[in-house]
Amino acid sequence: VWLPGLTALQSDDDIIRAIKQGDQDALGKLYTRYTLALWRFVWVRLRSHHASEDVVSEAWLAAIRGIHRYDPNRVPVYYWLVGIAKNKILDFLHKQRRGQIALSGLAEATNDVSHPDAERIRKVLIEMDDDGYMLECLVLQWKYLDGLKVCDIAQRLEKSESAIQNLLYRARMEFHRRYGQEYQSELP
Amino acid sequence: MIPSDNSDHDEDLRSKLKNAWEAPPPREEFVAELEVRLQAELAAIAPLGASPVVASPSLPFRLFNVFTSRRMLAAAAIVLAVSTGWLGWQTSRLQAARDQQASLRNETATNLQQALAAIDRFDRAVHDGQKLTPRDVALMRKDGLQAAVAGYETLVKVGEGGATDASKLDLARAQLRLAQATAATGDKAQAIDRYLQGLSTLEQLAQNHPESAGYPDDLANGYHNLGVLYRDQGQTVQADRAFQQALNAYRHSRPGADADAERALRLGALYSERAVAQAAAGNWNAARDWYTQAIQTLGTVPQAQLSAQDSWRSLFQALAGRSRILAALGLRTESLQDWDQALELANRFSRPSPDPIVGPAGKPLIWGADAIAGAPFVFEDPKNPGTLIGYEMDLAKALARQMGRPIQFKQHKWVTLLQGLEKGEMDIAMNGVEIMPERLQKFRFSRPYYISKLQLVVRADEQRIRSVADCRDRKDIVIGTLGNTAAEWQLDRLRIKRKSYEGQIEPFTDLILGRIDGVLADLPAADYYVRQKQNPKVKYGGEAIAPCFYAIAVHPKNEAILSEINVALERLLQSGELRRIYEKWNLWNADQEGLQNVKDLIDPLRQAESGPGKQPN
Repeated sequence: VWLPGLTALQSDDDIIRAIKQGDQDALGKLYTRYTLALWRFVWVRLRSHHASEDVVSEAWLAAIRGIHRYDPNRVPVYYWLVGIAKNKILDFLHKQRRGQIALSGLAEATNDVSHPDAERIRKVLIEMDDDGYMLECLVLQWKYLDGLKVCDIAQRLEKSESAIQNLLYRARMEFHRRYGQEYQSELP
Repeated sequence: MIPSDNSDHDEDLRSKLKNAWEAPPPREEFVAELEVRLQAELAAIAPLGASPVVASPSLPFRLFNVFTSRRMLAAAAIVLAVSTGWLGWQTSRLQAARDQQASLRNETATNLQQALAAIDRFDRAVHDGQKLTPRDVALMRKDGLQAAVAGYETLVKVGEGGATDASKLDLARAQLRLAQATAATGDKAQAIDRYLQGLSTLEQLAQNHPESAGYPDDLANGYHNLGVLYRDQGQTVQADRAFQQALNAYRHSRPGADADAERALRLGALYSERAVAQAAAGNWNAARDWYTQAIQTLGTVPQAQLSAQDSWRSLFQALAGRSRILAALGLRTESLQDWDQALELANRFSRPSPDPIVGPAGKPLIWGADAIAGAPFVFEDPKNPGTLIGYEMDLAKALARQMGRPIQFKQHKWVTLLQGLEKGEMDIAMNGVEIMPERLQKFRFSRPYYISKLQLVVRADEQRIRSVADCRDRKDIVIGTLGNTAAEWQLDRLRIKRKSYEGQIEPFTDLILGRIDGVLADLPAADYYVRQKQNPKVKYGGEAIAPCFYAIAVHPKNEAILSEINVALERLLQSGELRRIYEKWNLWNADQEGLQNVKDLIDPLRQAESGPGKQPN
């Protein structure tokens, strides 16, 4: 069974450095650490298994091919990966608009969405991502969906635990602020 | 203050996120396959990826890189060589007598020289391999020389009873060499300090040993270089003093220390430098006298040597310089005689250079002009878009044939053309550029290739304006002109209300539309728009005025190109090709007869007398 997040605690910078030296194990670690986050990022936008698989694999391949140009000092790993994924999603949608990709692959049934405001929450989260709150969305995922502890997140992102607490606090506040506004705006 | 996690809220948030965001997980096969593909991809690029720079290595890595860099290795080699020599010298001091110490010192000096030579070789190797910029190489060289000087200083300090003359001479020479390298890095102020230090040591040596011819020789070279630095810094008084000291040192050097011709060339160059400094200070008579001394001294150099070493250029520059001074003093006949002699010299000795003067071999001369500003200078052929035509295009082609090197056109806005030339964005500017007093202070000009005049153009129904004089001090009359030209300068001088344009065509358009009352343009442009195009809406407003001279402008640093250009222009004139070009464009007129004989030309510098430039004392 594939268990996300259960990787040895090693900082992103160390992992990237090792990959640049050709370390396959390090690549495995990075892949395990971010695949699910990247998958979610793509899936909530395309809502199709088939399309998400295409885009996620293209994004990962592009990332590995360009890894020697990536400088961890300039932007965190997740931002970098998400940036690549965003471009790939745009490429995909562009091709789809030009009719190079069949529409049938998109908009699959969104399965078991039971929460009454699911669509609204999804919209809020996508907006947060697009407005630059990517790291906040990532820590929300790790904390609430993958069950990572604050200390594990701190280790991964090379930050102190109090910094992660702060980040989580900001993430929750931003989410509630946007969700509340969204909710208000729909009231009659 | 961060509120602690409230478990109820957390649970609510978790539930919201899970339902809204939790994507169905990817297929396990997909995840596994993708990982395998990524690993294969990484294996494929790993050998290529080893070479790129790994961003931000950790501190120990960075320190390791710094200590293993080539510059550090080179510096370490020098320090090692110096230290080795010093250690050897210290040991021998305990064991041997004074004569042995002297020989060890010589050995150390030899080692040091070898270290410097090694750095020179290294510089060249690195430079040839283009792994570092010339500035990097210069900095390395400076580092090396500083290390060398430090070594000498140490040797001098630890020497018993103070330094010997040999050590002092070595130190002074190392300081002068360091100063030279510092100047090469662009730090001229620091270089001046270094020169002063070295020269001070040398002065002391020269005073102690008046019989030695070597010290004054070194002193003369040092002061000469120092003077050039001062001059480049704009410190003309100090420059002149340094040149004077260089001359004094030469006079004290033993006659025959150099070959006679070599000595004459160096002295001549110094006399010219003094003349330039005096001219810059406005001392025209003194400048003339120094130029005269330079010409007399350089005149003693045998013809063969003048030609062999390209030394004729020094004499050419001295003659041309004196010609300028004489013109400024109002001695027109004498000025023209010098100018003639200079041209004769250029004709006799100049030859197509095997290497282009600017840039590496094979690189064409870059000719800057504005093809949009208007006809008939250089412009796009309306019948064949994309092709440039014009009398200056024909002239450029003819010049290229004469000079034996290609000339490449570079589009540049007219109003900033000369600024571009100043910045080195082109080698020559040829676009109806008039010789003007203020331009003479910044640029060098070829001999004139066209004698132009300024022509006033007005609307066909214009009754008020019959000549340029009718426009003076009239608030209701506005005359348009191309900006940054002699025409603009003339309008200001004549107190005529003007409007300047960036192009040649726009003022004529505005004139027809009634926005302005006239256009003052160069005769070729006016002729093209009024007569050749047979435009019925405009006419000439009286006779053309104020002759002016079109010449090719170059940056003072590239003055050497001028002699080639002048010779090429002279040949075009004599062969009649220049006339054929002008006739083709309907530009030949009686004024151009003046081009045939340089003596009949009004010396361009005469304009300086009437213009806003410097006046002689």
